Amino acid sequence: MSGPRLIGIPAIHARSYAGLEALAKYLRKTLRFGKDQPLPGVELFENLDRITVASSGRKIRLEYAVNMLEQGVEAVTRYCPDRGCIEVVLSESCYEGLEQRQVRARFSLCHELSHAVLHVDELIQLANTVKLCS
Amino acid sequence: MTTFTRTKQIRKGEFGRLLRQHRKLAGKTLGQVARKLGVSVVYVSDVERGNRAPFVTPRIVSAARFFHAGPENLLQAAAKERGFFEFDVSAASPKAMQALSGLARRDVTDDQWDEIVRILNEHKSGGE
Repeated sequence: MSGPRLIGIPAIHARSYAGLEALAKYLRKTLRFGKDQPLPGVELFENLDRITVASSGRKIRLEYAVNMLEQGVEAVTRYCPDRGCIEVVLSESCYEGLEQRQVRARFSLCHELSHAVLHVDELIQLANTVKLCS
Repeated sequence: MTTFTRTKQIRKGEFGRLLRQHRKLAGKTLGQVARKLGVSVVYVSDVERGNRAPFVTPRIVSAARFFHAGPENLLQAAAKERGFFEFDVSAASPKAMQALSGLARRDVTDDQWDEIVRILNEHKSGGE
C-alpha cells in the first residue's frame, strides 16, 4: 500500500456499556449468530456485508475484502468514499489464520469489526483527511 | 481465443456481485473458491468487488460447476461487463469458425437470434 501511514483511529466519544451491549446484540442478530455461540471466523468475515451502520442519518454498508497489506499489517478498516462503504480488509495470511481457526486472526477481525461499527464518523473523517492530504 | 461484441453497455461490478451471490448460495467461502480455481484469495476478493475483470470463460464454467449452478448468468454478466463474449476457438471446426465469424459481423437479426437459440435449446434438450 502507498500513501500516508495510518496510525490508528482515536475514539472521540464515549459509549455506555448498555449501548455496547445493544450493538453487540444487533450484530449477532444481523449475522444470525446465537447469543452464546462462539463467533466463527470465516463465516463472520464473509457475512459482514449484511451489516449497515449509520452516520449523520445516512446508512452505510460494510464490505469485506482480502488484499495485500503493508508488511506487518494484519488488517485494516477504512471508509471508501467512491463506494460509500466501510471496508474491513484482511491480509491473505490473516484470512488463512481465520480458516485455520487461529485465535489471533479472529481477534484481529473482531478488532476491525469494532472499528467498523463504533468509529464510523471517525473513519469518514480520516478518509476525508487522507483525501485532502493526497 | 477470439472475441465478438454483442453488448455495448458495460456494467462494472455486475459480474462480481453475481459471483458472490452464487458463491454464498452454494455455501462456499472465498478460500474454497480460490483453491478450486487455483488462484489467490486476494484475486477472488478483487473480482467480487469489481476491482478486477471478470474471470475468463473456462474459470467461470469451473466456478459454476463448483456452485452446482449453470454458468449462463455468470457468462452473460462477464460479457456485459467486458462488452464482448469470449469463445475458445482452438478446437473449432471450419464450419464453427464460419458460423462464429458470421456472428462476429454483428449483422444478425432478432429473428435469426431466435432461430439460433431454438436450435441450441433443441440440441441441449436432445443431449439430456
